[in-house]
Amino acid sequence: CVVSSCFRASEEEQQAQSKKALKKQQKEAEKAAKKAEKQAKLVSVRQETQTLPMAHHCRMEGFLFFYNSCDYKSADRALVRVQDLTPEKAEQQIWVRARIHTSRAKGKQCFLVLRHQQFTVQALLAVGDRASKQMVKFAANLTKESIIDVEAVVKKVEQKIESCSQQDVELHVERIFVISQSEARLPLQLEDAVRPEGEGDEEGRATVNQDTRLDNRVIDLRTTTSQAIFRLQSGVCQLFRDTLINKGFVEIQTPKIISAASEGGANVFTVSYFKTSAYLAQSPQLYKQMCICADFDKVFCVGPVFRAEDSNTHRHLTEFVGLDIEMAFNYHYHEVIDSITDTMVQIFKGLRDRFQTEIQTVNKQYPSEPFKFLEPTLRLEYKEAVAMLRAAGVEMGDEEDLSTPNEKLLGRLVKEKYDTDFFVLDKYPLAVRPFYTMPDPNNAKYSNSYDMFMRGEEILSGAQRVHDAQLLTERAMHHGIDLEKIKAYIDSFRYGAPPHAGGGIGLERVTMLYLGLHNVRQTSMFPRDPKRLTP
Amino acid sequence: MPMYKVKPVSPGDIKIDLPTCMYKLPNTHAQGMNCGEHALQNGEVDPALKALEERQDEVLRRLYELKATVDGLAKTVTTPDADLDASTLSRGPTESVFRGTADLDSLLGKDLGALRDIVISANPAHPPLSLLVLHALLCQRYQVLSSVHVHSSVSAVPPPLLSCLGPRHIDSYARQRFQLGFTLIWKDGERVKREQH
Repeated sequence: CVVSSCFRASEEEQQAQSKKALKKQQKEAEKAAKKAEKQAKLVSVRQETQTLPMAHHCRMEGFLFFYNSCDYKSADRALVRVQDLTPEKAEQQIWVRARIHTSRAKGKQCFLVLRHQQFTVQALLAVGDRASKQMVKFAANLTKESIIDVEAVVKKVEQKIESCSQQDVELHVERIFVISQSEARLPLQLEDAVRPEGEGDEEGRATVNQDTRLDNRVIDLRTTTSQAIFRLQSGVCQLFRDTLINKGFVEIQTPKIISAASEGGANVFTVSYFKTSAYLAQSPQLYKQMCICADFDKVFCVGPVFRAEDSNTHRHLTEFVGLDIEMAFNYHYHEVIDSITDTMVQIFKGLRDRFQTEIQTVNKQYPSEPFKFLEPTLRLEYKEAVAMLRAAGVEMGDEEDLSTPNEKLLGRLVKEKYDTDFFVLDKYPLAVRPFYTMPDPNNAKYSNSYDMFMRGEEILSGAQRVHDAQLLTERAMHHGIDLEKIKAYIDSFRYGAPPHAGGGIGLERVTMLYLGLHNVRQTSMFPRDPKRLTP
Repeated sequence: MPMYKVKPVSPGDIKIDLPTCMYKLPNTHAQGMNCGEHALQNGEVDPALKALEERQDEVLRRLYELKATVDGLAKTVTTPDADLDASTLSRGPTESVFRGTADLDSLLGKDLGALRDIVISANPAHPPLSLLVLHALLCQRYQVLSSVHVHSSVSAVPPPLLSCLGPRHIDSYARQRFQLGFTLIWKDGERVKREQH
C-alpha cells in the first residue's frame, strides 16, 4: 500500500476537505465497527497472529490496520510520551503509544501499566459510558509487550503510585488500539530481568541469567536498567568526542583490514582477502602514529577493535569499541598524560552531572559505590606502587609486571589512602612493555609508559612512542620481532616524526567500571566473545 | 481366700552365662548404694564437678578476651594507615607517628626511589590554616612534593585554595627526586583526616 495519492492535492482546501471527509468516514466506520464488534469480539481475541487486510478501514476496537505508512496521521493525532505525563497535563485528553508492561483485570476494571523506555505509567480501564465490558475484557487479554495506542484522560492521584516512574498521575482510558501484538509466550519476563540477584534468591522469585538475556537481547534491552546503561554509554562516547574536539583534536577513521598484526602475532583474526589473507586490526596504533607523522598533531578515533584472545573472563570481549588518542607533545610526555587524564575527568564530571537518573536506575538492580575521582588526577610511580604492595605483604620483584590480583589490591590500597577510584601509574618497567615504548632516559630499567586504572582494573595502557627509526629498529630486534613485517611502520618515522604519546580505552570496560558492574557483557549491546557470535 | 494358682513359666534360678566381651555396669537396682551417690541425688554438687565448671568458665572468659583482642587488631590491620582525627591535634600534645625528626629521617630512608606520601583530606568550607604552617616547616627541612587535588564529592573550590601550597614545582614530573610527598585533597567531609603510609 503506497502513500495515498489523494493527499497530493496541492490546494489546501482540497486537502482539508478530503481529510475531513476521510475523518468523517472513519468516525462512522468506527461507530459501526463498535456495534459489529460487540458480537464478533471473542473470535478476534482468540487469534494469536492477526493481520488484517490492508485496505480495511473499518477499525475494530482492537486491531488497527498494519501501519506501513499508508496514512500520514501526524496532523490530527499527537502522541504524548509517557515521561511527559505529569500533573500539569491533568484533565487533558491525550493519545499515548506505549508497550503493555503488565495488565491485571479485576471485575469491571482493568489496570494496565504502560511502559516506554525507562518510564511507566498506570492506566485504568473501567466499565462505564466510554468503555464496554467487552472492551475491558479485551484489554485484559492483551499480551504483554504489545505496542498499543490509547486515548485517555490524564488524572491526578492523591496517593503516589510507587511502582511506576510517573507517580503523580494515572490514565483513564477511553479508546485502545493495538499497533503491534506480541506473542503470548515471552522468552523472558522483564520484571525478572530487572530484579536484583540477591532479592531473587531470597524471595524465591526468578532472576534471569546472563546467557538467556544475551540470547534474547532484543527483549533484555527493553528493561529500564539496560536502557539506562546504554544511554550512559552513549554519553561517554559523546563526552569523549566533545572534550577532545574542544582541545583541538581531529577525529580520524583508521582501516580495520590490515596486512600485518600490530601488537603481536598471537591474537589476530585472519580474514580471506581475495587471493591472500589479511588481519582484523587489534588497535589503530599504527595509523594513529602515522597521522602524527603526517602533522595532524592531535588525533583520536572511535572504532571497533578485534582481539582473538581466547579469554573467557568478565572483562574480555573479542570485539569491542576502542576510544584511542594520540598526541604530539612539546617537551615531556606528561603533557599527554595530563591531557588524557583531563579528558577522563571531564567524562566523569559529565556523567556525574548529567546522567544521575541513569546511574540511579542501574544502581537499583546493581547497587554499587558512586565513582570517585580527584582533579587533577592522581599520578603514582610504579616504584611507589611496588612499595605499597610490599607493605601490604605482597612479594614481587622490582621489574615484575602487576598481576590482576595485585592490580585489584593496589586499587584498594589507593582507594584507602587517597579515596579515588581513578589513578595513573607512571614509569612501568621497560621489560614488560611493547617494543615501541620509549625507554626512560634517567633509568634504563624503566620506560616512559603508563597505565590508568578504574576501580582497580586497567582501562588504558599507553606510552611515549619511539619516534626515531633507528632506535625503533634496535628495540624491535631486542624483542625478536621480524623487521620485514613492520617495515612500513618503521618507514613512517624516517621522514621527520614529532615526539608523541597516546593511549586507548575500551568503551564497554569504562562504562562497566564507572557503574560498578561486574561483567563487560552487560555494557556491550551484542557482545562477542570466544563462545558467542549471535545475535 | 486361696488365689488362682498359675504354674511358673520359668524357674527362678536359671543360670545365665554373661558374655565376657561387654563391659560391666554396676547394678542400679541393687540395694546398698554408697553415701556419695546418695548425696548427688539430693541436689548437692560434687566438688569435682564444680571444679570442672569453673575451668569451663575460665576457658570461655579467655576466649572472649581473645576475640576482643583480635577484633581490635583487625581494625588496625584493615586501615594500616594512621587514620588520625587531626581536628584534635591542635588541642592536645601531638601524639603523631613522628616522634621526632630523627624518626622521620629514618622512615624516609627506606624504599629508595619510592616517594613517601602524606595525604591530608580537608573540607574547603573550613580550611585548616595550621596545615599551611606545617607545610612551610616541612619544606624548610625536606624536599617536599606538594600537590593539591579536588575530590569528586566537591563541585567547586575557590582558586586560592587550589594554590595554597605554592606553585607547582619544576621537577614535579619526577616524583622520586623528592623525599616527602604532601598531598592535600579538598573533600566533602566533616573532619580533617591524615593518612600516612
